[in-house]
Amino acid sequence: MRRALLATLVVGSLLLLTGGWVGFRGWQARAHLLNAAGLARELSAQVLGGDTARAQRTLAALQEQSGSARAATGDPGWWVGRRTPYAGDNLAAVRQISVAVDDLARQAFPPLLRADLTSLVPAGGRLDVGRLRALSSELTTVNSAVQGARDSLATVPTDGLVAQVRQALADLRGEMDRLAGLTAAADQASRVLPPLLGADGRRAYLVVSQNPAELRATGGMIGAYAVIHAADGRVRMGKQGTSSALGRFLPPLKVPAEVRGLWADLPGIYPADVNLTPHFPTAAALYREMFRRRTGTTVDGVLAVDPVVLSYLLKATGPVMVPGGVPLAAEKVVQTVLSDSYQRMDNEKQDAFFAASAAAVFDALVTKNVDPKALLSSFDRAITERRILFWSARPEEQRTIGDSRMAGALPEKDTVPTVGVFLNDGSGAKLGYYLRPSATLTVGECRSDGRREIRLRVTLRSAAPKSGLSESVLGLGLAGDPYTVRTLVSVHSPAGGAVLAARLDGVETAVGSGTERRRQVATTNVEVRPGDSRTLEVTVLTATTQVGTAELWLTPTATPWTTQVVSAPSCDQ
Amino acid sequence: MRLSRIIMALTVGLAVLAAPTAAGAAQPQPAPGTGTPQPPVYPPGPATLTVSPPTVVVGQTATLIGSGWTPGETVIITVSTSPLAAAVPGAEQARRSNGETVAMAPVSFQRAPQPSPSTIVVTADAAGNFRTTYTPRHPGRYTFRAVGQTSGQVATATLTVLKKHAPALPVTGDSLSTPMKFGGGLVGAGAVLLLLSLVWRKRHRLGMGTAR
Repeated sequence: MRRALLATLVVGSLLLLTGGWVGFRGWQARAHLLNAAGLARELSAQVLGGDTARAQRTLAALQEQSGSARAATGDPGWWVGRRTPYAGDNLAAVRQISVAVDDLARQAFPPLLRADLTSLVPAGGRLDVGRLRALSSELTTVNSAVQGARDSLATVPTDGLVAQVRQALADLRGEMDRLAGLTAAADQASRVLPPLLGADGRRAYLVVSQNPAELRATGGMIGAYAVIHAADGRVRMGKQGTSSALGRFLPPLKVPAEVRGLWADLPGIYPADVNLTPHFPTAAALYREMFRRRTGTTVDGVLAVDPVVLSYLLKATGPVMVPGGVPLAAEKVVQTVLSDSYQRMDNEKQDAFFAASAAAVFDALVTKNVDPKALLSSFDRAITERRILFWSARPEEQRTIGDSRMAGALPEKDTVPTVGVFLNDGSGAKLGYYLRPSATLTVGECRSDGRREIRLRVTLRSAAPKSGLSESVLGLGLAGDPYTVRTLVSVHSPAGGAVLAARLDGVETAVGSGTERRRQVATTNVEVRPGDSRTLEVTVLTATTQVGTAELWLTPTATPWTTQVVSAPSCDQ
Repeated sequence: MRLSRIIMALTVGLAVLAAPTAAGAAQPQPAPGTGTPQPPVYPPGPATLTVSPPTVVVGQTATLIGSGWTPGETVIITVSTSPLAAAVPGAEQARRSNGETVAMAPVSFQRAPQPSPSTIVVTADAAGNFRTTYTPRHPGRYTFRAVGQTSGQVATATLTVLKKHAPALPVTGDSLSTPMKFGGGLVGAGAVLLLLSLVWRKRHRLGMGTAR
């Protein structure tokens, strides 16, 4: 009896002692981690501001704090504590947070500071590609350290954690996701950019402008092109020309069988029709080949942009004065470029006006002290909306950029069921500028065969006036009434899915139907009179899926889409 | 951060350089050929062969609708099928015991059954329209290729044919399972309690008999 009491007493005091020790160390770790978080914020501000000397000192302090936190959570008492029920999970989570922060401080930040990023500022119109390439290995180290820390944090289970620890973990994960996205992009860019910019020999690209006033699936009709030459980091503009000057191609170029089933040979005949398909690699390859046949020049890739990108950039630069012209501001530029110019100017004047505006914006980007955050966000928006697309004719390069949004490649497999809504102008006019598109996606019921129904509702409204538009806006007027916009709306089912039925303004409608990249495609002619709106409802079926969300892939338009996605619970709940 | 700015400025520079090309979009396109129907006008026209609905289940009837054909011409529609479960190239992978992955190629699909009928002959009316129906007997992807015998015009349409799936009612997830488990648990607990009370009463009665 006495021995038992004694034993209990010893065990009890041991437990208390360990508990107290772990508590003390935990309190220490918390203080160190809080300090580290503050220092990390300071560090990023100093790196952004280019204050290298202070950044070095901050980094040293940060390493000390993170090291202490790691040590505090690494002693035997903590090890014992982690094996207790309830408290153990929390202690293990704190340990893993400490390790992740310390790994970042030791492996990711130092090479980032060592790399003298200022040497990359283009001087005399040339980017030092050799230097960028040398930096590439450093960036790879940084990226793998960041990805490693992010992955190890992702494995920490959140169940049963106390609110404070869970919150800290969630915050850190969010930060890490952002950081990991950035370092992955920087790593990829540092590897892909040097060869693209001619580090291993001269390169030539076609830069084409998509015109959303006359819609095509990837954004707009390709009206014209410019050749860009890149050699050893120096970029120079070459020959310019128009799509119409390329003429038409008979017999037609070889068009992928599925695209041919939907659009016949049009994409292989007219440069203005290569992007009737939303799959940018197909469109870019066709345009490149047409250019080669007419001019004998073979380019290494195609970059596509649209005038809306210009408006996003002007948001970052602020209004820009065009010499001898009008002030160009973000709010007005799309109207100026896509509408007013067709109304007021002849082609020659338009050319001069656009050249002057582009030069003015470029000049502002270089000379003005543009807020990098604003620039980043406008650039990010343009890429997210798929207004900047790039295709490389070299398969190995295309593979590296293949799954980024810039590639514009319609995937053959969905992670989240994706419904495509692509618009192609059928009126042969520049009325696309007046379209106000919106789309709602509602995830529907789970079916016994594992598929899921998704209801899509597309509304096209025309803000076109009833009269007063010039002949160059009204164009061919193929819809009969020249003020009526005829748009061929193609709905792509999710990969492996199907299009069940389509209703136009509530009436069941027959559709042109085909397949593209494992998706069923249904195309309907939607004609909208000025001021009217028409609604197309389409029910699609996913492949076998558990997911309760869905995504839209849309043709970028002059007036951006209004969209809504209504999710549902996943099917296995 | 500087780096991303540089990369951005670079791409943006390229993008901006391209902006003048927007001007080219205003250039007139080649005028549509007058009198000759070939080649077509550059903007795409509405489909000349459509299907309603684009997906049916086996045994259901789909309507094929033609428009924009030469009035009175004979249009021959050939039907071909392919299996639904088209494999994604490179997506099917299997893991070997040593950890390597190997690509799996589908070796034998069930042979796509020949559609019946495999040819439909229709005549366009005075307005160049026609209408016909088709009832598929097997699941798969059906491609209808229509060729106008006078105009030489070609159009294709695709019909997806799904297997019949049994319940007409949608499966609304597992929302029933929680109440079912709860109810089942209650019923189970009730049964146990009932049994216990029976046993207890029996023991009690017996106990009363033996102890006193």
